[in-house]
Amino acid sequence: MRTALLLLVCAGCSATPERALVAALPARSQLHVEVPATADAGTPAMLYEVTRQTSTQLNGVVDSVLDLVGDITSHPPTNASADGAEWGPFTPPLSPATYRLIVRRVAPDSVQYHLDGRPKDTSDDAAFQPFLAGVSKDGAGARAGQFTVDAGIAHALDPAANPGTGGVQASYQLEPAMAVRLQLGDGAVAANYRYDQLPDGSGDFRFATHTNLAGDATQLEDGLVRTRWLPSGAGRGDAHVRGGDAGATGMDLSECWDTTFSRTFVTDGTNAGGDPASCAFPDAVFADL
Amino acid sequence: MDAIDEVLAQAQALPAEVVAALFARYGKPLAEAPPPLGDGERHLPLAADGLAAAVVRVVNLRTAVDVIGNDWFVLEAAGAEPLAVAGPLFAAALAALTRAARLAAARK
Repeated sequence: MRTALLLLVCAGCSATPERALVAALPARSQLHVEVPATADAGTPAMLYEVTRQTSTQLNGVVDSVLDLVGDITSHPPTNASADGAEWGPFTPPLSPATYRLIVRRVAPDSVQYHLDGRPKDTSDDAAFQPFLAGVSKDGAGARAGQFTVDAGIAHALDPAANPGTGGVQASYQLEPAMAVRLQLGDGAVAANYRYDQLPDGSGDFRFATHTNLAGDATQLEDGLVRTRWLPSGAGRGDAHVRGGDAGATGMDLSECWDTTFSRTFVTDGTNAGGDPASCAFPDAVFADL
Repeated sequence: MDAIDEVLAQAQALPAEVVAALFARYGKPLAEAPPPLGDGERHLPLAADGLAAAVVRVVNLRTAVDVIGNDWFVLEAAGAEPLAVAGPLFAAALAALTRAARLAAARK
């Protein structure tokens, strides 16, 4: 009876009030670009391969941000209440910087978080600057959010641990459908990425790349790529290609692949090979980043 | 008071030069100019020496990197290009400054 009463009393409370706040934050796997893959693929289609490589790089960027928050929140907070929690200030071993993470529910369906840093050799609270800030909306049926990373601040605090100086701007929706938008870099060198995934596993990924897309492998081209795929893995890529072997005027490249990711059709607008009827998506659709 | 009111109140409590400096540090130009400030739209006038007539406002934008519309704080100053900061980042920067000011005041 006493045990039952305790359970009843504690049904509406939590020994760790920050857990509900942390649960509202995005997890790394939730924002991954999930390009189908198989271990027994032979020689994959080129645009499939470029899409896989780009998704892996992009997932790494997202992981580096969310792992940072995840690692911190895996430890007990310094202060916590039902509406807010704070970790730190703490100084990682060998780090020249001191950090703190603050998570706060600002509305019934909205949690804000920010990671601040300052040089460890000052105790001045005013020296803290946020370099990662986000909001996560966890309302029923509408999970979404955004986060911003100012890598310039992180770099200034700890150049060895944070060699990059650009930025990350991310926006995502997890329900009702999954969509991720990312911008890496700043100003004229910013690159945008758009990813949409349907519940059935089909996907649509748009990105810019600088890699070998035509001719001599030592000549790199700029590509604006849009890749779509079915849950089976069969897909199609369409790319505006400029520079390198494509020259200043460029070309439009389209490639289709089957469920083993092997090329079934390719065209650069002048030459074509394979069967266009094999394409999982019959029409070329190019990226509009 | 909702989260936006709270941020604007924090901004109001800080010197206008500090708020302008935040936009200079974190702000980015917008691809398109925001619509004119509407009647009743929440905003914060900024007045300081050396700062042209300026206003901080909140615009819900769906930029190229927004899946859904998100709140951006925008500084509009006469003769200058509007600068926008993502809502969470602006709120975080203000929170850090407000907290530091509160601690400094408590020590006095």
